[in-house]
Amino acid sequence: MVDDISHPTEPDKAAFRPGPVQTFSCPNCGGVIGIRALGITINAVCESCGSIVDVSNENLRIIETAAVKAQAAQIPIGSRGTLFDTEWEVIGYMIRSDGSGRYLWREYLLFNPYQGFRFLTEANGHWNFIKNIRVAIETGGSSRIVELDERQYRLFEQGRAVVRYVMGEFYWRISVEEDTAVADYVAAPHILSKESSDGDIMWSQGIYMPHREIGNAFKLDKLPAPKGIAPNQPSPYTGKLGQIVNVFLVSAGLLLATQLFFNERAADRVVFDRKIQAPASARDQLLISEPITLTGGLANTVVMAKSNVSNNWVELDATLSNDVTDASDSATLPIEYYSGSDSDGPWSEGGQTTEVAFSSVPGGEYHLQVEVDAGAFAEGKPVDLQVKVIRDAPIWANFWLTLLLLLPYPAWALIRHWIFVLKQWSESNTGSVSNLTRTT
Amino acid sequence: MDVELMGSVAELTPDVSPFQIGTTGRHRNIGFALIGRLKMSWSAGMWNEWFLASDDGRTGWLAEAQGFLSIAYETDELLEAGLTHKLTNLQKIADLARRDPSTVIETGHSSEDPLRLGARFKIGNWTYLVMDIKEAACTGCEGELPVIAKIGRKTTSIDLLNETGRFASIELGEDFRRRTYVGEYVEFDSLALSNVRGLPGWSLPKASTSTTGMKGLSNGG
Repeated sequence: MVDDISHPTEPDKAAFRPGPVQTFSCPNCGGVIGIRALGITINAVCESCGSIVDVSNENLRIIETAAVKAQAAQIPIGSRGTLFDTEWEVIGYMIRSDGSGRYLWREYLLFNPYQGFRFLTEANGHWNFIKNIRVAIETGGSSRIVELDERQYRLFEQGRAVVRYVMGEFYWRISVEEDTAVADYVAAPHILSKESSDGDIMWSQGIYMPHREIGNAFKLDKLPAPKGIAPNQPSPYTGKLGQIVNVFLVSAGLLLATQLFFNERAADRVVFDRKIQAPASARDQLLISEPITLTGGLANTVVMAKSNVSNNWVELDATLSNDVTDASDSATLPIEYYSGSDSDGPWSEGGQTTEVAFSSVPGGEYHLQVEVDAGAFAEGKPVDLQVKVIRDAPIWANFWLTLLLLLPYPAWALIRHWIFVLKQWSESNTGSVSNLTRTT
Repeated sequence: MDVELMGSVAELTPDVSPFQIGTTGRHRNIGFALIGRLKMSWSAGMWNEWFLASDDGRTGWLAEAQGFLSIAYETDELLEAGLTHKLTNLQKIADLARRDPSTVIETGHSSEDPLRLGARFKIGNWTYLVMDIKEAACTGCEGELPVIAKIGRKTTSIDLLNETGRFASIELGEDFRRRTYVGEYVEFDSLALSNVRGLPGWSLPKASTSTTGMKGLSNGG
């Protein structure tokens, strides 16, 4: 029964380089059945009539006769492609569905005589490269987490996988309508799947493959782009997110270092400090300080006012003017402090201190002019005031402003990442989003 | 162990095995050579058991089944009493079935609680899970072998796996001898193989060498 010839099938049609094929005659229709994994394959499908034939020994036995018409696979049987440095030949093709039959996916059996078997799966244009593994993993109890090779996988879905269509050859018994219980655990881009039937448990480990890599490997230019989000598809932000956060942290660190450096260098010298009591008659009068010497070149100069007001207000109009050039900087410094107690308990708002910073004030001789108004003046009462002028003070405002400008991009990326993961897990029939956020 | 030179007493069906008598390699840094082969068959296909001689004097088997490779060396580690009891029971049923082929071995329908898939047992210091129980027959052999490889010689083979990746295999022979092997599943590329079999249409893996070139698909003999 075994033709001892090895020849490539249909060499004229070959955009690929087929391996040697051992051929059998189909016991149903007499058509040619080619076997590529000789001595390993036990079931093969006749290309002509679709019968599933047991080829494990010379008594070729028909297991099932075809009920469905041939369906074209995106990667034809006999195609070769190199993935992970190994050349693989597609020798089997299966269409499977979930229990409802509505959700379909396709599985390709890949063979290399030295490396054994792998699978490519495709669902909605999303591809996975999968290897069966021999491991004893316990999934008992209510745990949704499985650990393998120090990686934690989270249960994504549980259901059934039903074989709907077969083509090519297989190293296990195949049967259309064969029903298997499956559970998928994910740690994107990795996936761990458990298939169990009749007490037999088979684990497989896979990795998400961008569809372009599959197209390149098998020289197919028209693989459709994936739709939706696959369970183990890595978030496009995962890789970037780390970088973005690092860039943010480094920038913030540099910014802080710069700030601290300038703080250290700042003279921070009090060049004027005076306490006065302004009588009610001081309203609309101009109070003029004694001369103030500002040393150095350009530097910031802070005017600070303090008044121990309580449930009242004081307002100062301050002008710092250069005696020589007449150049001046002006600002209003309002001070208000209110406090009390209501049904929510004690409260307070405002403060007893206020300050204004004039930037880039040249060195020289100055006078400070102050006009005071206060709530207390209306009652004919004086107010206590303290006015300080500080030369070259450390200023934090720019630091916080720059930090705020750095924030939106990492925040945006983080939010996009969360949205991606939430969408992904909304498809899960076992996962709950609330306990998901803890680990992602 | 008495290794006998058996020669090619049985015809080997052709396959695409990447191994051949004379293939050498290293397992856990100890060199080995493949010196014999048993071709086994069971209800769901065939596999190869390559008899290996290790440089440190041990002998074992490189099993090649469905693209999976395992290496296991014979051990005298003690089997847990419960396991021994179940194996004796299993062997009795198997023996009965061999003498009367109409008996169907259904390990699940014995009067006694049978050996079940997923059951846990200790071999030596390690606890294993029963992964696979199958009745197999020798369909061919070549090279040097530690057993008389009569065609049709039947064996009950039990595969066990430990959570840390240790693999154990128990063979219950027709001669009522029980042999236990322990080892692990291995990757082809991890074995630093030389003199692997060349296969037409396939390039050799980068790390491996072949001295025989293209031998064609039909093998052995």
